[in-house]
Amino acid sequence: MTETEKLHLLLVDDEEKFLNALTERLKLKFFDITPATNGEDAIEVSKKARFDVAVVDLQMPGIDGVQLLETLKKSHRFLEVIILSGHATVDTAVACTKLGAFKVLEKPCGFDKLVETIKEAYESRLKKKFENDVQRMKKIQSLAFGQSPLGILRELNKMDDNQK
Amino acid sequence: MTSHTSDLVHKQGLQFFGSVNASISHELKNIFAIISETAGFLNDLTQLSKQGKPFDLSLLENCSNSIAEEIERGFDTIRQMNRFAHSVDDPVNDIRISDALTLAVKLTGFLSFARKTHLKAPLENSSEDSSILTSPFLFQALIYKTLSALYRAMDPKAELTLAVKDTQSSGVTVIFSPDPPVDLTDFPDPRIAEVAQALNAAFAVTDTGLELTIMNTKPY
Repeated sequence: MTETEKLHLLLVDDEEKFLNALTERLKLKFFDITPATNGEDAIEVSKKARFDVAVVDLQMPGIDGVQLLETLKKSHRFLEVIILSGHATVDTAVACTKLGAFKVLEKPCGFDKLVETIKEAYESRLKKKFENDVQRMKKIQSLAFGQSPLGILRELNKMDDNQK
Repeated sequence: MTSHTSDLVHKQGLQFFGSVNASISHELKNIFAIISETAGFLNDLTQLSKQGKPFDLSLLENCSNSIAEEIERGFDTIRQMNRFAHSVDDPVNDIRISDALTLAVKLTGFLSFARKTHLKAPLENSSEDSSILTSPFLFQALIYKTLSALYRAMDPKAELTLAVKDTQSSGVTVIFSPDPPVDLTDFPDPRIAEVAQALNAAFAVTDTGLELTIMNTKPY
């Protein structure tokens, strides 16, 4: 990954020092980082910006990691979410995966492993988005047959789901 | 020890001991995670330096300060862990109320839903040496569970103040004042009530919060 193709990462953890140290390290890997110390702030910034991947701490005061995962997945169909857990149990991992988490990592997981997982999540996002775009393109091509220009516009409008 | 109290120690006591240990280990993991990432960042800066790339030298100072602070936080956590472990040394003992409350506040502080809590000092209508003869472990469990229940009922930005006053008879009253006040209609739940009963303690819901009066008596 180069500086020109930065991956947009939302990083959420209530441990401010952990968040700061991780933010500085990930910046050196050419990631564009938006840190947030709680779920409420993370939801606010996610309304204004597009993210490729989110790394979310499980245990936080207020909106916790599971609630944040659910909210982010509802509003950002292609966003991949990695959960960091102090005590990752099988039950936690299963519950988070069912809600759409890309992976659950036990904290501290090792920086290289985290970076590798973020890259895998990014690739997964690109693949999903590409597949979705291919399907949309097929639909658009099929619209060209037997539709009036206004009808085509109406159908295109329906297809524009404004997904991030 | 009555069979009822023995059951209580085995059921609720073990569960309480486990949950406190889980929150302590979670705290220690967080500390290690911060030290690990900060040390990693120091290594990244070293690599930058070797490559001749400039960086702000204050980053080095921030990193070393952060590691030192986390090590101190780790020591403090282990001190609380050790004090808590010793609460089972004696089934009944004289305990300083201020020490027991300080420990309970620190232990509940490891919970993700903990709220900012103040201990009034010097304690209201009371000397700082107020003490009571009771079960140190069950008293710790009662205060911990009460604080946890209050934290769950409180708004994330709300704050709690604890104070102690001596009762006319031989006992003490711990006053819990959440700000803003919370609805305590359903307090205490049956599990907290069971521990309070074993300790000869009683709760009273007031306009401003909660009062826990515990008598100077052997619970066994």
